[in-house]
Amino acid sequence: MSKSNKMFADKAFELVKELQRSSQTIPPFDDDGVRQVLEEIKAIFEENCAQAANYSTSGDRTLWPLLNFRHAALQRNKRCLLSYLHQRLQRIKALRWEFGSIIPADIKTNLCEPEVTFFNKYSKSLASYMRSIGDGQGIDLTGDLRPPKSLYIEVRCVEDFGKFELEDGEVIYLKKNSQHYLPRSQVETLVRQGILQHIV
Amino acid sequence: MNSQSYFPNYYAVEDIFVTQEKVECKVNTKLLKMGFLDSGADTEDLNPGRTINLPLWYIKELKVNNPYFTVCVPEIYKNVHKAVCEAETTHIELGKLHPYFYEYGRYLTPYDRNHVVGKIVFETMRQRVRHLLDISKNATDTGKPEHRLDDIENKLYESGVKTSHLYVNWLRMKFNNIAASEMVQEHTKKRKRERRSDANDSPEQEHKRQTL
Repeated sequence: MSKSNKMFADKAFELVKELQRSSQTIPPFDDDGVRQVLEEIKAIFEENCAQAANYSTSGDRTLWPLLNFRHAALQRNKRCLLSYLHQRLQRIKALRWEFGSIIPADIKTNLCEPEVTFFNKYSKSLASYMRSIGDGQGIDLTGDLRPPKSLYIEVRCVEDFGKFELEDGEVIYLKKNSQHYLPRSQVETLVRQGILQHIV
Repeated sequence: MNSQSYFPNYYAVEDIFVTQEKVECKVNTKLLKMGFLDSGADTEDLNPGRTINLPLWYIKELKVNNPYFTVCVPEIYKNVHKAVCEAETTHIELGKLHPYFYEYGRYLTPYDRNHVVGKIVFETMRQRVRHLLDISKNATDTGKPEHRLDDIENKLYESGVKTSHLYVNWLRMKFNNIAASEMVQEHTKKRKRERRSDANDSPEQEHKRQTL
């Protein structure tokens, strides 16, 4: 065992801490950090195994505290690692509710492969759930988060969006800084996505 | 972001932060090959009588009266003890003392032979929570008293401010607007910053408004 000032499980804690501290929507997946933690876990496990085997032949109890400590470190590493992944999944789930079913490209680059799969599957199950409720018609749970008071709202376009087709077939052109009077239910998503701005 | 009520589960980040804290311990028996825990010693074994700092995540795995280490209760809880007696806890800068004052205290309670830590933690919260309610109701733009609050208090404070803000908006019937969601707002802010540093143009430039 190397004698260094670095404590066991510090690397795993770093992962959790960095994620918590970052101001980004979701920081890049720390491949390298996760790999290092996994290596540490493996190393500890092997040392413990060797020692346990040694104990069963010799019956020497003097190294128990060390075994105990390393086991605790192992558990700690595991906990931090799982928590890191869990926190990221929480944020990815939130993405679905806030951005809709398509993640902006610059956020997507920060996800790792399994996370993208998770997002797609989550998005799919949410969609099929929303279709299944509401007497066969389906309810969009991400809409109408606050009770609507009017059918139409006045909106201003914040960025160039392009053509937008309403449910009655009318096509309007959403140009930056243009103002429109549109059905609330149809534009709510765009407002939530920051493309339109609700003016009172 | 969906906030959960605070209850430390396996994934709780707060709990991981608290258990990362170091606790001062006295070594009671000779521990073979554990000298790496003591940065001051150069022997391979850990000798009795030495004082070392061990992380809470290890300590909490051990029994309270384990034969290896004796946990020393940190000074901060002793100092607060005085303040609690003088009933002036609202002036303590708890966040400066320890960012996770209550949680840390909760973990240390079983190791305290004089049984004061538990009482201190409880009393401090009891006296401060009322004050917390007052300041979160009267939150101003001058900023929050960050360094004075511990992590739990900070969360209570923030949700207090948020609730009173929602309430005021409801009274003024201003709650009907659809706003861009929080994550989207953050994201666009970031993008704008990037664009500004890239091209150095001002995206806020007011164009003539067109109405269709």
